[in-house]
Amino acid sequence: MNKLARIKEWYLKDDWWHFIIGLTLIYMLGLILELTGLWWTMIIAAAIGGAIIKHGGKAIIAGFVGVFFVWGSYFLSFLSLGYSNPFLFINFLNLIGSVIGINGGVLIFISLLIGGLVGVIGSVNAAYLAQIIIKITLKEEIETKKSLSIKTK
Amino acid sequence: MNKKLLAKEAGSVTSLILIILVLTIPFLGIGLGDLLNPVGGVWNGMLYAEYPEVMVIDQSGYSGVVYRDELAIPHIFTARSVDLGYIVGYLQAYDRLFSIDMQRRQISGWLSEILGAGTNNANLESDKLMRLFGFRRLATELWNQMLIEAKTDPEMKEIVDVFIAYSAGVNRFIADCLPNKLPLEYVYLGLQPINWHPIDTLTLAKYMSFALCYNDVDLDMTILAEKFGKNVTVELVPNGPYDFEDVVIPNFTHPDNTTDGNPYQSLDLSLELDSKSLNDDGSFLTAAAEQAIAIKSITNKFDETLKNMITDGCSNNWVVNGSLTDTGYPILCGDPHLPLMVPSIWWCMHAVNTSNPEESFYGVSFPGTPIIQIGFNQKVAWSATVTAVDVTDFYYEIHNGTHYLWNNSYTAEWRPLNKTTEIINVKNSAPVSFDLLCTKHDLNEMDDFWCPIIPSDLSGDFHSLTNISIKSTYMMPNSGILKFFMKMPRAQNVTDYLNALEPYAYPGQNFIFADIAGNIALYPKAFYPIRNATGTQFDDDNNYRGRYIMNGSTGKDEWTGYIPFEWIPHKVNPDQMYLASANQRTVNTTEYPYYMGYAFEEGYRGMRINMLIREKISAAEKISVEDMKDFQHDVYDIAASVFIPELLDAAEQFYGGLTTNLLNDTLEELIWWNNSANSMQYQMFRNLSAPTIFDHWLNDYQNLTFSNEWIDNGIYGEARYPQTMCLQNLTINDKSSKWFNLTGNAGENATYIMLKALNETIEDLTKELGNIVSQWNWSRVHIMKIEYLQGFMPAFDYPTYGCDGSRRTLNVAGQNSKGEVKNGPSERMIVDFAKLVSGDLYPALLTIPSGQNGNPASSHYSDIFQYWKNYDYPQSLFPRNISAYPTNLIYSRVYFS
Repeated sequence: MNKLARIKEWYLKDDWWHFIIGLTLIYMLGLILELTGLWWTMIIAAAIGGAIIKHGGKAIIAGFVGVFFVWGSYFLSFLSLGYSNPFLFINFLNLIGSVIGINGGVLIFISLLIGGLVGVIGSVNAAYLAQIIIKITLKEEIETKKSLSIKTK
Repeated sequence: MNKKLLAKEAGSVTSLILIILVLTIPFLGIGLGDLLNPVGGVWNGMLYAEYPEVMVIDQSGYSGVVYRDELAIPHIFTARSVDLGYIVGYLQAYDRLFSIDMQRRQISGWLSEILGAGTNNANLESDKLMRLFGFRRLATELWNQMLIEAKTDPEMKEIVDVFIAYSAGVNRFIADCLPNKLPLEYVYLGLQPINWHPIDTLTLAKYMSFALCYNDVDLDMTILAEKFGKNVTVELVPNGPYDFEDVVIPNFTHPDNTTDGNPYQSLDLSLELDSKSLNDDGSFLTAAAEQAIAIKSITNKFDETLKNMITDGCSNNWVVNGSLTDTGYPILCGDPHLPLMVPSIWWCMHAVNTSNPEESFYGVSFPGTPIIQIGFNQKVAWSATVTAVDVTDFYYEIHNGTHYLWNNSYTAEWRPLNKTTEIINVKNSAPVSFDLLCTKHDLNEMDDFWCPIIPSDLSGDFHSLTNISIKSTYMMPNSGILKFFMKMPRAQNVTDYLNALEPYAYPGQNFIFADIAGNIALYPKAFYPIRNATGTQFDDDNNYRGRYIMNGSTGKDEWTGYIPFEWIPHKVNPDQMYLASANQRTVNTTEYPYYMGYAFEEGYRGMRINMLIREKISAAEKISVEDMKDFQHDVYDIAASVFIPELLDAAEQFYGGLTTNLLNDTLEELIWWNNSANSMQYQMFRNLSAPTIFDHWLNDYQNLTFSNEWIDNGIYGEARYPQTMCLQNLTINDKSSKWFNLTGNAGENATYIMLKALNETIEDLTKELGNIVSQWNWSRVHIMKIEYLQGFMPAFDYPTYGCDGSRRTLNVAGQNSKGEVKNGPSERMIVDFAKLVSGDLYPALLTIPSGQNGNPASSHYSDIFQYWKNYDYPQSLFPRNISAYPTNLIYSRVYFS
């Protein structure tokens, strides 16, 4: 069995390793892509992870958790922006609250939920797409095998 | 194929599209995805709010070190002026990028481009006004000229280099922000900052100069002259001071009449009037008044749109000689009155030249400029107030849309108008073109600049053109203002100050000065036009040319030159040992041959500061820094001290003891306030009711006195009422003046109007504040309102509070019709020369009504304002060199290399 075939065989399996690797990929890629400042790059990060996970339910969890933690990490990093004023983040949350009438903490929670949702749509789409592609390519393989067996008969 | 799987995929694709749509569709002006994204979203609001302990800006080509102190005021140590320019650019952008960017766009006429035409085309109109008055156009001309001058003039070369370095500093910050570390406002508006250019700085300089040069009282005078006659306008708005006024420069002795500056010396003009031009008789006045009314809607709009930013450009400054102070050294004070907004119109800074220990200055700068405008160094200090001298004229032009009639020295001719078309880009809409036609009045060779013709509306087509053009000294392509502000921070003595002043052309400023040698000086400096083409400054009716709309086609009203430097009223080391200015009349006209203007600010603040200092002198008390603080916070209303006794006399005569309860309560409140044993006599304190009654009453009294005459003559908002000082003069000296006659009945005099006004006041205040007089606190109708970027985001405004003072008090606080105070001491500075001489680390007190940082999340958003609000001052940390800077006071460092 050559290398490519081995990878293919591993890819077609569905176990928790796929979930862990997919989730890690979403988180790592998310951290990098977030630097561009474009929110929709989270869809790309989640999609790559989702394509590895393939399983719909697991992809939903990984997409949500992955992007949730990417954005959460960035929010955590804001704590260090205060420099001489450690209360900057809290001041800012209060300020936001006074503008839009929503508590700043709630706004962060909403942001994280939205981030998670963006992750979910990215990963789940990729997962289902992967399943469809697998079905189509496997169908060809089965048909090829069938035709081969007819010929041998 | 698994149907179930396909259905799942279809569902998830649909939700993908739905969610992308929901997060992209603008909500609050921006998509939710962009808004909540941790990087580049609303959270960017935290960037630049605070300062890292150490910051390194490398590969800049400029070097220097910056220490920020506790109030985030930067102390900049550099070896070259270009380094300073670059660093100031970077630091101002860090603290205030959005506000300077928006200001630049507004005064360049670029608002519609980013915000659209606005409600009722407000943005588009603002853009047209800005382009009509041409700040950016004039700045571009000036910059091109500066580049040429810089080739031969080393002084200009340095200015040009500093301006270029400043722009590079701002642009370095912008480059560091891109693409997704932009300040919050940019995220919110979906906007990108554009790079800074030296022309932007000059545009700001032109705009500020205009704001401080311009007034349209000539139009009011023309309208009133046409209705009442010129002699009546002189009665209501005199050329000379009232006997109770203090002028800025008392007892000015001008040079000998035989010198070159003789004002009566005329150009050799033999004027030939063209038959088409209007003669200076009644028909001209009628035509001019009609045109004045036609452009009033534009100039009023101007007041609304622009003067909002600069209303009542007035200020105080004073200096006392060492012989009057407790230390034996001068004390200099200044508080320029400008719009109160957050972030402040000022930005504080301190600069030290590490290659020349004599060069170290501290002061305030308009963000957008690399230089300080007010401040002090190791040896001198200076501050400024507007002179309000007449440097803006309106000309009545005879033109046909392509040519205008011009009378030069010898003959009349038709000269082509200068036509330019401004293209205004409008967001989400087609660009709008705006035509400009300009005349030129260059009898005097220094006046080689274009004067725009004002349209009667802003639709911009030729049909709406009027006959009125505007000429003002701010239009001169003159760089004297830049030379002055480059030299002044390095001045070492009074000679340097006078040398720096000489080229200064606009806007007119009373520059007050003191140095460590004990000299004090006050020079109201600008280029003041002379209008004596006919050999005299007077027109055929024996009125000063310049007071009314002037005739642009006869040549008689042309500017022939400017008042020579030594002839400008000024004082150096006067006998009275102190000097003071508060935008009042510059000089006593009987002592001085040149016409300087008539539309000065009310003289009350000027009178009050003179009164306070004279009281100290006559009591043989020495003046201390503590006294100066009290003077800057003084809210004694001189007008109250004049009118309240008159009003109480009138009430006593008329009512005796028989009054209603409400009237009785009101009068009792005023009687208590009028009592000389009362320490609160005539003080406009926020917790008293008397100031509320007085201020409201004075307004009613003025309205009742003049409104009937105005309305009877068909004047509705086109001309303002005369000043309070005119009313004071009439009330004291002419109680039976015709102005006090309301209906034509005999017996209607000042007493009658005063009491009628009091009744109206009580009626209004009862409606507004209830019927308990003791609860009519001034703080309820006199509210300090400091807005974030002119109301851009009300949640970021400072909390409002009832405040002391009035428009007539030294601590000025004039309110608008809604009772909001939006204009006042934009900076307060007290420089103690005893401490400058002794090398004290804190030689001055300086406060601004804001903080250094314009980010609402910053701990420096309102820290200096807290001092200002509580009548307190932070001390200005002024180490003479970098090793003198106390290390425990370094809150942040920035290294430039």
